[in-house]
Amino acid sequence: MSDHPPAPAASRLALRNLSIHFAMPNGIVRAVNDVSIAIAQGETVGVVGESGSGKSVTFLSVMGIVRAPGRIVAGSIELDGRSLATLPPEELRQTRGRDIAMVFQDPQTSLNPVFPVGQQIIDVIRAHAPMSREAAKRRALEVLDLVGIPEAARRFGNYPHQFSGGMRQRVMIAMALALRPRFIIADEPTTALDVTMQAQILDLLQRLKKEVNVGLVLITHDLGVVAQMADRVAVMYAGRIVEQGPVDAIFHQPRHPYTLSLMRSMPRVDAARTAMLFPIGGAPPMLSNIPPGCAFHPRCFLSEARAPCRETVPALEPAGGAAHRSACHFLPELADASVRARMGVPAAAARTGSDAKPRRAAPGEEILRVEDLKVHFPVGGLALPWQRQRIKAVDGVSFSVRRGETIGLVGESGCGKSTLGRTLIRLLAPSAGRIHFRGTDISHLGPREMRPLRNHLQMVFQDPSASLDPRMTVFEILQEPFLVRGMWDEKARTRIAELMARVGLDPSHADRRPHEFSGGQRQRIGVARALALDPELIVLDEPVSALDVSVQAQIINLLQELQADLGLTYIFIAHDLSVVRHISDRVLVMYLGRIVEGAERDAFFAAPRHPYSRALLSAVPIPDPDKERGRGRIVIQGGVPSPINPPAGCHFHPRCARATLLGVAGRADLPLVEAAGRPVPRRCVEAYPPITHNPDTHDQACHFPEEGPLPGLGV
Amino acid sequence: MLRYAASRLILVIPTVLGMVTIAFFTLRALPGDPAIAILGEFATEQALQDLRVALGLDQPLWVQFGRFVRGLVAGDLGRSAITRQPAMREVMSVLPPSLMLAGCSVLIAILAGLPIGMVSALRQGSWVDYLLMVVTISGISFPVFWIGLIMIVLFAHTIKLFPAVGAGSPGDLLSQAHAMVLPAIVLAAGGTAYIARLTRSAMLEILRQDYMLVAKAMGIRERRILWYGLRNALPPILGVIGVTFAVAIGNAILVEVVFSRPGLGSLIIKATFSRDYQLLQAGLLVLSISVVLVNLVLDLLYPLVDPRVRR
Repeated sequence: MSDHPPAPAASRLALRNLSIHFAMPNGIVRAVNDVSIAIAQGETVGVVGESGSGKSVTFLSVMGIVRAPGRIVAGSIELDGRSLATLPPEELRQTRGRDIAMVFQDPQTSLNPVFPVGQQIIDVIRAHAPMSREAAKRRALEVLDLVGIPEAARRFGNYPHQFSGGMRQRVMIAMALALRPRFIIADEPTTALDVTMQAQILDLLQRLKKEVNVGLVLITHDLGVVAQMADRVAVMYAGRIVEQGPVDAIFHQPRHPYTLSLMRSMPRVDAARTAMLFPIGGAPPMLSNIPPGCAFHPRCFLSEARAPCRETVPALEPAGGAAHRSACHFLPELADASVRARMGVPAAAARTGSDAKPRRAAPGEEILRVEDLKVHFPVGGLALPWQRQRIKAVDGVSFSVRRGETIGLVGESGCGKSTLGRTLIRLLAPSAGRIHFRGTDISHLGPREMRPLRNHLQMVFQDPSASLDPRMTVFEILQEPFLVRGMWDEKARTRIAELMARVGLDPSHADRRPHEFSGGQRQRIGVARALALDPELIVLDEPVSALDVSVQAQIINLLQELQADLGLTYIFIAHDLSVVRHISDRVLVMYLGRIVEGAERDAFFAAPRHPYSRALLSAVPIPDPDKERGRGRIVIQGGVPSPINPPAGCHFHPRCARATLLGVAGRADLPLVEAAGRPVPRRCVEAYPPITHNPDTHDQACHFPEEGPLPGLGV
Repeated sequence: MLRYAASRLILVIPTVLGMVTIAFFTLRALPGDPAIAILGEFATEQALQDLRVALGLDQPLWVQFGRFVRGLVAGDLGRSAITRQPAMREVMSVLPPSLMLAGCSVLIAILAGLPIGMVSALRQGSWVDYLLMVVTISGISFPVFWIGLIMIVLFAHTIKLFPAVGAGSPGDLLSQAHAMVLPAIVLAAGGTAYIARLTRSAMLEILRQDYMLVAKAMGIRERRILWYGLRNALPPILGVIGVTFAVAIGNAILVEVVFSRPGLGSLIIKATFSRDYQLLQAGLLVLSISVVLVNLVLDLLYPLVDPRVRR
């Protein structure tokens, strides 16, 4: 924080006027342009930007691991005033890992799969310190213990695949800490993790920062994570820092149109729903083709294509406080209240609804009813059929959906939400239970009988680059549904142009292939394909989670418009509760194949009832540093257990905070038993709780539905 | 681990059964009459018929197959129609030199292919890489007998380094090893090229992995990073050694002919020309069992190099 300057003896890592370019066959990719930023030991600097903003490359260069043909073309990286470029190679190798360490995004891929984790940490230690194997092992055990690996000595010889994602990221952090570095660069350290795991890892980083006094560079696209963790923030766009300053200033008085737009385009978990989001038009530029002048001007609400914006790259100028700087030609205008009003910019980054109200019909009659649905997958191909175990991906789920409503389906990865979604439209066959679509039982229809119904049941997938055939043109992709149904005629040809226009694509681009579009546009193609045959119900499986924040809002708005105009019914599967809050009418929370809570949206977000829902919600970082500071957390321990052998009784009891509290309270009327290392009510371990229906429309599966609120929610 | 081994072992049985069945029927589908092959063109019809009865060739095919399977279960594969010796004993007597030859060539293929592939991957796009890849593609595309003849011309005739024919004097290990050099290298050419190209592509994939970047970012020494790479390339390489061995033992037949070495290859060629079904069946059975066994051993070794498949 600016009001707690680090001690003078503290180390400093500084990038000065750094530029990194990649000479590619089809031109120069200018990934990093004239970036200057300094980090002191003991502080956390958040570096925010969308994909392709150059935020990762900037700091990969510090570790000397920019991939070929990337090259530092200008500027320097200095550690305590010494330029790394002037160090002899051996000293540079020593510096990396010992003085500056790094934590990578994906713990699945950043640990070497064929060596035990302990060995990998020992390797790092012994690459820098002339230490005996035993001494190195002692140190490795120390750091594994420090990052909270239970029974570190026993797990020392385990391989990465024997750890859960969250545990692997802890190992990665232990490796980074092994040589007591002064700086840690964490590149999207929680992006590949569930919110609950993210909360655990962020907690750990926060604690370590205090305990071991490191300077932490936190690279992320998630403004909530930055608000929670950072002292200072740098916002990057098209390879440049466009704004930097103390975290409070950035969030409360953003002084760059991009930062402002970014904050307005995000749905928030802590605020009631607004009609529509404010997306930023267009897409982040290609780094091989950065617009001249201010790179943001084609998407800027302030620029209006004025000459300075188009011609000159703006410099970072002081804006507001001394440490707060922004690169905008029209800084004064941004501060001017009248201009802000004219541009429709709110006083602070506070939220207001846009004028475009979603015109929605009230939910109609029941369109889908699910009764005790089960989807089990056998595992262990070589085992005898009766010995084969089953993954209970969906294990007894009932709910109903009315026409025109949006059901938000949430839960950690592995909870069965995608399997449920796919089964609802019969991409998978249920093992037991019933699915009624418009009154027809479709749970056991054969492929031939399903075919006429498939027109009405469609799906949009998470990753548009994986769900669109790269060899087909957009026209062919959109033509396919008609061909398959034998409905191809001249009318269908005009329908394709209509569809493209409907989802905001230029119909003249019909002969292009998916790779010629941006991520957001590709997802529009995915939506158009789902719309082709006039569906009634669409399952949207994480449709925006692969997209950049600024583009995410465009797709969410599109989905809402389409729903209002066409009366569509959505099953919206997501792990991002902010998006779910924005788009859903009702929320279903899944845990290990079952629905643990179901409620109307507003009731749910105002006061979630089930301990799991509460933990989920409390784990979501809020993009507001004040709220983050005043907030307690229910950090649930451990990961999701195996769906092959879910815990007995209530599946959630090993991680449940309410069970822990009741165990501690020790009420006379509650017999306790030991579970997951603490006393919990016996009932939690003995039986799966029945679903209770509450008057305020919460349904939840908990033995103690009426117990008071848990501490530390603060949403 | 024991379960894993057991499940692999159980799979051997249907594989071998399938192979002998296919071998039995394809042999019977070959044109030519064994009786004529044995007695010659000018034998009387009566003599031919008597021999057919003696060999059981007058029975319907399925009866012959039944007898064959019954014999197989009892470990009796009949006698060679020509030498009247038990077919199995004939085959076993020539098996060791063939296995030695194939084994040596696979060893050479690994010892040469691995480093070639590593160097190629580490120098991707350089002239070294291109040169090695051109050499290895020739190793794959040229027929093994052609390479054999060229090697004989070069290293046995022009430079008299190695003998052109034979397997060395019996009992003299040195001369046997000396005679083994050329044929083993010739036989290894294809495998070396195959393993080199696989190592290259596996290494290129591994070099792109995050954990290699992590190692570099954490200041691990170059040599250790190289070991990280090689260690990760072992599972896919181990996976193709079985195929390499199968190809080697198949090609050994050709190499043995080119170098006039005794072995399974020469035996099978001889038996084919004389339509000696019993001998051929025994030869093919032993051949296929040795390939299956080598693959089984490799399967069992797999968990040692890839911890992810251990249970």
